[in-house]
Amino acid sequence: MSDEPAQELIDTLTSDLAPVEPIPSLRRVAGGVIALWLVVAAIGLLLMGVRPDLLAALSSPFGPGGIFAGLAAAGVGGLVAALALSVPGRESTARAGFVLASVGLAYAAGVGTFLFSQSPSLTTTTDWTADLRCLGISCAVGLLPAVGVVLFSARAQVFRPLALVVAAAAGAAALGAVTAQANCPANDARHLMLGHILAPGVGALVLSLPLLVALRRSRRS
Amino acid sequence: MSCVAVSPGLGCAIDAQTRMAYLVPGVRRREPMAEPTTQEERAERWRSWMAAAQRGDGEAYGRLLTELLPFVRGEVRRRLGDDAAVEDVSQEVLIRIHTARHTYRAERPLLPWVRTITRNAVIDQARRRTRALNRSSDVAPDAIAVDPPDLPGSDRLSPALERALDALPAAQREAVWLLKVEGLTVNEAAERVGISGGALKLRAHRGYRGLRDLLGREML
Repeated sequence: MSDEPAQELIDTLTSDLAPVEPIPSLRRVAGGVIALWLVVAAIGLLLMGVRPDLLAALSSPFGPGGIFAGLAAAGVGGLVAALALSVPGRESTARAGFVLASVGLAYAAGVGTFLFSQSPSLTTTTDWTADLRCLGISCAVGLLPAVGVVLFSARAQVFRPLALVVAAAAGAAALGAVTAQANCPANDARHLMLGHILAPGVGALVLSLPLLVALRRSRRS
Repeated sequence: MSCVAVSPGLGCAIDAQTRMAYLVPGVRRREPMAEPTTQEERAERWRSWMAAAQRGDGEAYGRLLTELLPFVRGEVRRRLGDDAAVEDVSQEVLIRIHTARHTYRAERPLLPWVRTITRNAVIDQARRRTRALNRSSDVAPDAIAVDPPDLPGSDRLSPALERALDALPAAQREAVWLLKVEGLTVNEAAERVGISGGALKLRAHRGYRGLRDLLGREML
């Protein structure tokens, strides 16, 4: 096989080669996105207030504390997976992110199911409007971190845009749900399941399409 | 089969089928071989050339792409199996490496980065082929132009040019025909054939060179 066409291509690619600025490390970008979430969450909690029993809630691994931890893991895992999907050669990091997100979500769902089974009756202290409120807070707080992921990815190299935006949306909404739970004092299992633990799924449904549009426009520009 | 030293100059071999061990004179125990450094040296060399290329060193970049090309071809051939498309996809990979070179970080190994780009180029090629097959199956058989002289515009070609076109490989002839006789744009022609625009340009480029060789430079 003649190498001439390939060599011509190589000559074309190497002529007038412009230097490029490598993208930041994944670790730094992930840290930046999580820092962004912390800032948004802090502002949100300043405006909405923090639940009075936050410390007690955090210290219950098989109660709200477990849901906090599970959602936090799901959030970090989802965002890391989304970032890694836009960098060639980082598939193992993306897989690790998906595993962390899955384990975190499964743990949170397990705790919620456990709490639900422990409830003496089906009466709850909240209704569907409270569920919607917490889901809305999750998506709103998660929006900026998700956009941060998209902006980085647009500069990098996206191979699976749909998987990327779904992971970013779900992960960001999970971190948003951590914020919602830091504000929402309700401990009834039904609300925890529908208003908090369900947030990553709802976030994926609500935010994925706008993020996909934003990603495509950012790449074009 | 494993071989173990029983005493100096005497070893044993294990029959794979019967699992019986036999004493074999002159067989020495195999010492574990030292890890070859060639691959490590190559990986380090490529890594440093890529870092230099990011700084704008065209010479290092040229050496890197030249050495990467056989590796990329091997990866593409292993995944694609279709020899006709290996060269096109391999060159597409080089183009993608070029456009994505800012996503490589010098502290990371280069080969996983290259493999991901290669894998995705192969996946895209398979998708394009599937789309082209689906499109062609929707078109009536007699509408598919197979023989270039039957297409409009062919009566403007000289017999010598027609003979030269017929002598080209089918893929190159098709590319030249679509661009120069039918007058399609690169994107239109690429979509019809089911390959990327870059791959189509490469096929046409080879076709023009082939015609030049067949007809002599003064004909073009």
